[in-house]
Amino acid sequence: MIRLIPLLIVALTAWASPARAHHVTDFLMSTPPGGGDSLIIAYEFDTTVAPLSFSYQLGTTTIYSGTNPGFDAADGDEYLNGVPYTVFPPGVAISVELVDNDGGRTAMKLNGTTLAQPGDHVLLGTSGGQPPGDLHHHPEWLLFADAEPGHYAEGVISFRLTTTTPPYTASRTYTLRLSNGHLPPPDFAADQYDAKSVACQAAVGRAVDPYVHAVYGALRRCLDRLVTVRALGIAGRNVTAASGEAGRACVPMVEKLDHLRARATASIARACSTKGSRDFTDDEIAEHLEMARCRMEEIASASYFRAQTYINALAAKGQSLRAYFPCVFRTSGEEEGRT
Amino acid sequence: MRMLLVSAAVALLAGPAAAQPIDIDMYIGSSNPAGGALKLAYQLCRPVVVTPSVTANGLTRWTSTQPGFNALATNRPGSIYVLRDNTPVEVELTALDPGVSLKVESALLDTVGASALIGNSPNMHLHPEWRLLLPEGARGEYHLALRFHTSARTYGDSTPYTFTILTDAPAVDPCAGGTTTTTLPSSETDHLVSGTLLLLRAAPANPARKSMRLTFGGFDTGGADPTVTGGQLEVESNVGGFVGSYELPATGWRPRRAHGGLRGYRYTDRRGPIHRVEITLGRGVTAVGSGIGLAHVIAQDPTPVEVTFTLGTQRACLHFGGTTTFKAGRMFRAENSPPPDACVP
Repeated sequence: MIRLIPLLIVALTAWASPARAHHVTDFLMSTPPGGGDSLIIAYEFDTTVAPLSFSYQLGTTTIYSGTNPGFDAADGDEYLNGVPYTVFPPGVAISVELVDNDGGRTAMKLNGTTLAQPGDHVLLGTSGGQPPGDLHHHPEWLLFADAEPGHYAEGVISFRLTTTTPPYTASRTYTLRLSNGHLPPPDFAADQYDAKSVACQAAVGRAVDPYVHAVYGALRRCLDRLVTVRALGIAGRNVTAASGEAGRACVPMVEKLDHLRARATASIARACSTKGSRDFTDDEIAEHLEMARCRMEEIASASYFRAQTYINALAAKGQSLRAYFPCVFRTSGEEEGRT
Repeated sequence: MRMLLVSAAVALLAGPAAAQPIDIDMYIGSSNPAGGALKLAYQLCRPVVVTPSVTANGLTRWTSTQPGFNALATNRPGSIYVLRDNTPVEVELTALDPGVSLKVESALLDTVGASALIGNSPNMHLHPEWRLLLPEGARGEYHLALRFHTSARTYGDSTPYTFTILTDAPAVDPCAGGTTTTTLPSSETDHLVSGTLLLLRAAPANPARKSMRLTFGGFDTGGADPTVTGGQLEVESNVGGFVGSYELPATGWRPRRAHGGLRGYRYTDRRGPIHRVEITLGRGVTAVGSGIGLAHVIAQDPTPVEVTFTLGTQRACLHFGGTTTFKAGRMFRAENSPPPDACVP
């Protein structure tokens, strides 16, 4: 433990002062380091989200966009387990082909061409070419949401690399997640310790923490009561009292969670928006809190089998409770008579 | 339904027909090895070519993600230098035509004065979205000017840089050949000229009463047309501790004609800080400014004062020392200054 502390300090010091690096966030295009001619993209697709932000609004559709990650070719100093990624010889022409647009929710614009439908493709560039004919390009990632700005939206986009240059062959399909729920990085000042931005980040944590607990807690209490009603019903017992309890647990939570969300929003806004550090806009805060809530709803629906069916059975303010919890997913098999 | 909103945009534009390597991205550094002002290495003659992204409701949104911002990685002695590590750099809009905007990560810059963090050196690498919103079917040439700012005390703000945004790629490389309009520092044509007069005034109790008058001759515009390229005026003194960088955007310039010929150019801007610049071809240049926007400080004798006047690729460099008159806090006057040995970086 004593040895670990100095190591940790060294690591944190290095991390606080970014090292010189190049395009660390971009897709790295190459061929398998172990051999083979198929094109590959080295990138942590499973654990990376492309953060998008409001771009513009067209009627009821809000469009979010971002330019990261971009495409780039291996230049010889990138390794996988000590084996360098292959550098393309000059003249390898690589194209990008859209494979899936998540039901029309996603698209990308690359080199002046919008890839919106599966099969759309565009020449990315050629290895060894002079810019802009080279392989380093940043697309415009696009996410279309049927909601006003300030609502969480997410989608995936799938694409592959193709080439007509032998001996290379097309890559497998890669899928990138696009989301507007990730807050942008705080803008730390350089002339002094930026207490405002640090306080803003802390305010986010302080506000999100109780909010997500409240969301899960409210859903838990509601679903516990509904499970009781179902179990009583299956046993042929009277469910009247239990149903009343369920209603009292479930219906008021809509307003309670709205209130908690407003409180969290105000708390973050005080520290982070125009009156605070100016790191985030009100819409960005709202989108982030909606994402946090959505994740909690997903977890609750994973914890409770039939959660969506239960939620559907109740109404508040004249509409199904389901409308208030769009991320409570249905579990396959609910209709097959399983408890 | 959603996808109906997305036009099947076509690659309307081939890449510029370049006969030489193209520096497609922008590189940000500083004017001096250990400080100075932030500076950009980029061929501003190269337009940002936008392409249609989405058409709806009678409007077309044009976008491009090129060029991107980078931290300069290698010093270019005499021209531009690598920033110190961990220097945060912000971009700020200083002028823009209607419909033009810039999206930098999550920040949408669409008004003068709007700014956003690009990144911290040395890892700075960001591709903004250059954006143009036009009525459907409209095309053309538009402009956007920006400058760079940092909260690091080591560096001052850059001068503004004006970018041309085109909906149609030029038929020939605008940076190629003898008529290049590059503003890449190493490619500028420098003129070492004599200064006729530099008069700086200030009122210690009222910063709004600052004024400046500059006159010099012997400057060949080299065919540069400020109604296209705009201009810049820099007045700085290491001794005095000030750097004044004043953009003279193309929209403020008008040609002066006499007897059917071009006599020169006149720049006017009622809001200042530079209100008027007169260029008389073959004779000289006069610039007049006033107000709180002027950067000079004359609490102490600022001699020498370096002045740089840039039109497109043509740069006039002056060095006001020698015969001067100084009244602390109120007035600095330098007359008939000989040409400098070299332009300040």
